[in-house]
Amino acid sequence: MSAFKVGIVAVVIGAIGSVAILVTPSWFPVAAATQATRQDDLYLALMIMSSFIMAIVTTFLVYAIWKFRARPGDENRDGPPIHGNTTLEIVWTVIPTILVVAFAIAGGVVLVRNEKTYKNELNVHVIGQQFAWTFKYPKQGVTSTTLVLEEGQPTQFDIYSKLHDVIHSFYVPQFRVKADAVPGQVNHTYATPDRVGTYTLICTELCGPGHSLMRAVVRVLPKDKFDAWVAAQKRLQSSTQGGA
Amino acid sequence: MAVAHGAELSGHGHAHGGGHGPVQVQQRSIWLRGSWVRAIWVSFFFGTVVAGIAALIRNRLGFEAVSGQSAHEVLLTFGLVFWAIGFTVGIGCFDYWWGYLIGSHKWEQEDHSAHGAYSWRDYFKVNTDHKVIGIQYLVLTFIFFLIGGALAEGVRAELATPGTQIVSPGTYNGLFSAHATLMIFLFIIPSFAGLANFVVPLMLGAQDMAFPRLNALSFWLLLPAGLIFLASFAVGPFDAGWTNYAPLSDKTGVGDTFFTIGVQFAGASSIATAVNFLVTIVTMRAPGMSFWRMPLLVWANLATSSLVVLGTPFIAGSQFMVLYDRIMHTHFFDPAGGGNVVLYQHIFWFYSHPAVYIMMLPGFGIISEVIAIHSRKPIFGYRLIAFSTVAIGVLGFTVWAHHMFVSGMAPWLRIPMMATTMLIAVPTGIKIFSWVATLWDGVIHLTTAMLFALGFIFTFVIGGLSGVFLAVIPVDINVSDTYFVVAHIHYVLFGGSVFTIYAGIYHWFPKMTGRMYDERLGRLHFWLTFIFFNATFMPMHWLGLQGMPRRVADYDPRFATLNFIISICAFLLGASTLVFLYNIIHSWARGPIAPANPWRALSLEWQVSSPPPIFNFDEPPQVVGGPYEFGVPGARHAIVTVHEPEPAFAGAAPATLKAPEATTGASQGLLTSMRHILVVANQTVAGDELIDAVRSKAAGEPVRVTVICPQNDPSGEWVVDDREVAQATRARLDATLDRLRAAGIEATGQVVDRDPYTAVMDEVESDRPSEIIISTLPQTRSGWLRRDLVERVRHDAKIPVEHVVVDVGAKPAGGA
Repeated sequence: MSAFKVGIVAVVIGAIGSVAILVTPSWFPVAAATQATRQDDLYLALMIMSSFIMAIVTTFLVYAIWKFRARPGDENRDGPPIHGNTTLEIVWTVIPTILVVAFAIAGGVVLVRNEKTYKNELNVHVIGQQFAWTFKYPKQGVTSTTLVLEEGQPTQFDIYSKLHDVIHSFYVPQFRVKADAVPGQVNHTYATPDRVGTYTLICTELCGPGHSLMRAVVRVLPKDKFDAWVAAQKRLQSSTQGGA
Repeated sequence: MAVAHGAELSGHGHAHGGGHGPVQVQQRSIWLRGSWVRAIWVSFFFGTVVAGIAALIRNRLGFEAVSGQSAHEVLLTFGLVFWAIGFTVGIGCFDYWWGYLIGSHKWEQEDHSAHGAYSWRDYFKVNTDHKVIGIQYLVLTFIFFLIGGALAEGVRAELATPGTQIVSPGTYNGLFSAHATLMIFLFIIPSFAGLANFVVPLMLGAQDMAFPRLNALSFWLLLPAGLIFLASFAVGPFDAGWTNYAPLSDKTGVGDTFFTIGVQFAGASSIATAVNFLVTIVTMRAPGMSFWRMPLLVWANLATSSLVVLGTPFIAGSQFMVLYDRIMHTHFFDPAGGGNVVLYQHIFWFYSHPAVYIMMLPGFGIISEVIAIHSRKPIFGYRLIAFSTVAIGVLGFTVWAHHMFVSGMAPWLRIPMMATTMLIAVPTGIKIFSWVATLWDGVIHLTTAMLFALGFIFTFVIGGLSGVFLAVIPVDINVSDTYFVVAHIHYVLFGGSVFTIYAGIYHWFPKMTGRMYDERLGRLHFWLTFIFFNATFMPMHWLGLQGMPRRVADYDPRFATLNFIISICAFLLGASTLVFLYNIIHSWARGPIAPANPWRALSLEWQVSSPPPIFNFDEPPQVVGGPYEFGVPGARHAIVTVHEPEPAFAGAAPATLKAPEATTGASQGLLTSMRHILVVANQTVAGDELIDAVRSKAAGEPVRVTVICPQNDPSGEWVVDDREVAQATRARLDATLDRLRAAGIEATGQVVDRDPYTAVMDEVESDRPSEIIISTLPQTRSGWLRRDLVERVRHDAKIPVEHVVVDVGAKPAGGA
């Protein structure tokens, strides 16, 4: 088979791989934020590109090993003295360059859209400490150990650690967003939850012996239930404050 | 330079000129000379005395002298640093420099007394021979690889089921921290240094590295570094990851001090080696070896060494800052004291991302060698591969913050870091495509080295592609610090670096040991490693995508099944190493003798014997072409003059392949019942030690002795054409024969006008002696020893060879 035919086989295999990637039911946990969907699409695009590259390299590799393997009698034979091919070398320099530039642009666009801020967004302070999370809602005047969010409401998380603590990292797999909670500085991340449900916030920065257990419950509620929760929290806090 | 070189080689032990005065070898007591005994007492002496002084000062200043964490930290810091320095002093790394410093006359400028291994014991001493150091590196680092692997199996045992069963979460953190630390600082980086140590000077046509004693020091710094890392388990291991992120590292237990200090020694070793490689590669190339004729492994080490020199000081700095935060309360990374937490990550990754290329570029070099040689084709696009190596090195310094997309920095800064990171995929891709194109239309020999190289291409493409995923910021934000990253780094560092290390070890094993490994076991090792490597790490991508964070002792029960399977595969992957170990140890001891050039390669290391002579080349080789000119009729990379024709040099002299006939001859030759001893000596022929050795052989049973005095080189360049010398030799020989006959030994002898090796081997062929005694001057002055005469005869004659050293002393007989 000529190299050209092997190339065609490789592309076909890459295409089959791409279909397989697209029909795979779950690469990720359920998507529960608009950020998640965008990330997933970007990921699938990368997978499809990888499918083709993987197919091309592997097909040529396997075919070459099979076709050009040394056979009995080849002990003293050498291959043809081919030192290179300028056209080919330009092709495999330029095409990958175009691909990575395209994906860098796509990545930049998704990043900007994922981190867009809105006027009336919900603001939540996420505070990490060894080994627990606290959530403050400054506008609502509520503090909680459960992260409760409103469906469809763009939310900005202001994330930090207590001053004498260590780094933690805020990660909700269903939102596909993450940011470190760093002592002495405030980091931001953004999510617009779009699916009601209960999820888990996981600490993803090694923070000591309790790291693997440093989790918190995340609940996404419809607007009415969220408002009710805020009201209930306020009542609860004012009553505890009143009692003090 | 060339003249001095020639003169030294032509010496054959003659004391030429005035430079080589007799060396009085004073064997000092084992407590005082460079030895393990001195290493142990000096290291502990240094450590305790300095820690004691620190305790005393603390006590005087009114601090708690020895109790409390603060005192422990301070005493440990001083104790460990000086313990490690004491170790290198004690083992003897500084003896020569110290002698120079105090103007001792004992030390000659051209002192080769610590050069070359004459017995296995020499591998346990400070040695300046790059080949010995290379093997020392490879063996020591492989031991750390096994320890690091065992720690990883501990990690997998804990992760086999959710919940915490086997170790506490604190110990678990210590396990993976030590695993990564050992693998990176004591296996991958130094084992590449070891391979390069052995191969690069040979490839360049040099006799050694530029700074052989610095080279030895680099090696001996590693052992204390590794022991310091391991010793932390005695006090509670460092548990902040190999990344040792502040401020966790500022606050965690005493073990972290061990990490910050161990890194200094491993880093110093790395930097010293890199300087050595840079100077060697730039200044010690053989005549004709232009940059564009250097093998790609040399290019790779040139780029790697530049990265080490520029980058490694940053990790040293970052760990000093952590150490100072811990013991001196400097607040570099303590926001409450005005410090900046993320600053640590910038300094750390400014080294540690280039470190990824430090761990990968030498591997690329190995793959270029293996693929071209074992597929019998010139490397495809040599210059572009060399350029891409340099490009990766340069770009490598512009991408560090891609490790920090979620750490918190100016949001826009992530975009250029993403772009540069992704651009690195281009030169990396060039290499992959070029290797595949090299294979195309070649004659592919599926040796174990080649299998690992081909397996590497497959696994490294996966690791490279997942690297592109991680560069794309939104995807990185999702999967960073999850098992996706664990999968990625293992595809890069195991599927990448470790596979290339294996390829390199198999490829150069015949050259290093003079023996062939077992291909069948090698193939078994490859397939077990390849299958269980992929089975272990491929599923981790999915775990990461599903949201399983890294560095956790406990995890969501829904990942239980997959983690269990991964753990089983990880154990089997670990077990596959045993096949390698058995193959290597067994082949090293008993494998078939390797020819000089089993792979029919062109580069210089294959043009000398296996293992190479102690000073590599009898004359500086003349490089006349590229290193990969396979298939070009009559093409040569270099012209190498070997003074003794080497029978094992099969590629050039097919006549010498008639070994089986010689073996049949052997059985016929033993017709006489009397033992026949062949004595080979030149200047030392009249030496008392030699006569005594022959007499002791003759005590008990009748023997027949043949004495030969080989005098010349075959090349004709350095013929000893001095009748007086020949007559003096004849006189010495006659005197010896008389003394032997007087002792009742049947002795004959002759002065032969040939080089010693062929003279001995001819005698072995024709006269079938039952054993050989070779008599030489002491190591430092013997031209025969320098050229491995004893080893090579022992190797090729296949009968017992005794080596007698005669110190003719201040009056070299022969009077030249």
